[in-house]
Amino acid sequence: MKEIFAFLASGHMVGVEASDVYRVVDNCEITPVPLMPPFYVGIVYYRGELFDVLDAGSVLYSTRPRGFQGNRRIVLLKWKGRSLALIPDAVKGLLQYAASGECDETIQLIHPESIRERALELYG
Amino acid sequence: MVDLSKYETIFTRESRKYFCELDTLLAAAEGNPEDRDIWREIQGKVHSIKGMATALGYRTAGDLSCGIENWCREFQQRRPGPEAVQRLQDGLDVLKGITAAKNAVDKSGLAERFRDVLALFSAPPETTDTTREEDSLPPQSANASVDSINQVRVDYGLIEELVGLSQEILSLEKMLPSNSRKQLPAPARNWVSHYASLLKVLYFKLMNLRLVSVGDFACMFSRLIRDQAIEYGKAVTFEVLGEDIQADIALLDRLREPMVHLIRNAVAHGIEPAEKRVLAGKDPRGRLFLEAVRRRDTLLITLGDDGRGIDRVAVIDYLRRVRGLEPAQIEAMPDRELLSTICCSGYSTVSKPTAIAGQGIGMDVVVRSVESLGGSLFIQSDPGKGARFTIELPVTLSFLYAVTFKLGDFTLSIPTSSVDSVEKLKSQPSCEPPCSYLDLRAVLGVEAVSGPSYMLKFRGGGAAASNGDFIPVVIDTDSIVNKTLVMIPAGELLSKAGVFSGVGVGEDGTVSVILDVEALNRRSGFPSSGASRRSG
Repeated sequence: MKEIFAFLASGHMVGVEASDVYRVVDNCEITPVPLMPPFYVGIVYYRGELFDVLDAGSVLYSTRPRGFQGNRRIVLLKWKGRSLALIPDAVKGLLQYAASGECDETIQLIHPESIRERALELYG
Repeated sequence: MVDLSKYETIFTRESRKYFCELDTLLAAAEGNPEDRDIWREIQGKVHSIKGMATALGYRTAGDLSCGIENWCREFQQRRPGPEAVQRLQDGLDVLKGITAAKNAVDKSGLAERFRDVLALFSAPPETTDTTREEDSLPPQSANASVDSINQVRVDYGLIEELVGLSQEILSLEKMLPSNSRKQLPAPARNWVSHYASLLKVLYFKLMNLRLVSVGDFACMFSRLIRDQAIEYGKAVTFEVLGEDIQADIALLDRLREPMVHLIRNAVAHGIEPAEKRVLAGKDPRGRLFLEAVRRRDTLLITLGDDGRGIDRVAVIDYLRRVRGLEPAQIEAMPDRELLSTICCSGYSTVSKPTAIAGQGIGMDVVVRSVESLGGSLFIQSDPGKGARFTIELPVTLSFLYAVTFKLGDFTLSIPTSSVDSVEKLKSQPSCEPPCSYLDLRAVLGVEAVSGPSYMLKFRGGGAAASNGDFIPVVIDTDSIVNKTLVMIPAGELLSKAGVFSGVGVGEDGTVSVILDVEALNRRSGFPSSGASRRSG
């Protein structure tokens, strides 16, 4: 069995491998950046590292950004020397799935690299 | 009973630094065995290791370093024999193993080698039977002092952890509701304020620990170069230029593998054997150099050699054979593009690969590694004169002074070195043509804000700027300050905007994006474009 970290993005249940999740942080200040596309929320500086923060629903499903107010949970992802942060609609937590890759059909498993590639593609 | 464990740890770490420096010095001694100063320096470092080992009761390490030191003293008076440097390298390898094992020779797996090298260094070294003309050395003082330990080495991970923790403590202060702070009695408020100030200083000092010198980085390759040169039967000197330039340890660490590939290629393919070099009128010893230069917001690291240069015939042959290009197409190809062919996956000119060259991998790996850091690789080559591989990296972690201001929702910074003047305006400026200015709000797509207006004159407009070398820029802001920032490279997505050179973190933890003045100028089209320019 493997562990996945599940969250909601634009009404879809999405999962990433738990080992790619570096931290889930609250109360972390996001610095907005001009000239960036709508899915790009800003940057977070956490423990000496920069993370591009993306609206999970907007980058994965091209929905309109929600506009964030108040406390937001930010999922910091790190994999193979790369990093990225997502703001999901809601965090569901850790779930188990079979190592064979069989998983609950309602959860879309996604690798952080695909999210990064999608963001770069959307930016053009 | 004195607890020596902490001193043992210091010794182990400290001696690593000495061994690294000794690799460089031995490589220099090999190229110039008659240089008495080099031998004196080597002796000094071995002497320091010996002193620390003796103080800790490491008798085996002390005995061996004593023998090595005696050889180095001898070489300051008599010319060393041809095998001297290799023998010393073997001896230092064993000494390194013993110190790493905290003097436990049996556990180090080096017992047999230790006995051999100790016997070797207990006897006088082989020298050419010529006494140097210079004054003979003064006798060694019987009560020579042991160097004090004034530096320690710590794992980079520990520094990262400390930086992270201090940042989190800083952010705790921000989470304190402002009204609750007001409710505190004045002495407690002062205490919190003083505590936070000290913490900010601590944070910045810790960030400073992430910087290492290019000299220390280059030191890692001295041994590799020497070993490669021996493997290929070549003589190679290694020179470091710009060694005092400091860069982020994380960045340099990720450059380690690309540099190893470049060095291997330079020794294997670039530098010719001594006899060929002599025939070409060159010094029989090849020259390899690593040069670091900081230019604006980039760090340039060049690895160059004075060898034969890149084999253009082989490159052209590859383009015709593998890519199917016609001679005319190759002829029309810019030199830079032609040379970059060697970075293609699978490119090789070696018919029989060896363990270290000609595997058809390497340069493409170098390019990928450099690109993953947001950098670029530039190749230059002069037939018969050598090749240069320059890695251009975006701004690395460093400290800079910057003018930081709020513009709408955004916190932006401009390096102070790029700002000629800042002037607070009484009203929105208007001026007669050809006077014009750049409206930063329009360039960055920021909604109208109502703050005091400032006129900043940016340096770096060059010929594009209508007003001499400056770009006059107007911003409306409530807050504009000059402060120190820790500068961090912009990530992939941020770089795509094309106007940011990095991200700055202030002492108070404030994050701002740093504007690249030249890119801003290009984007705005100033002064010819009217889209983001206003004329009075």
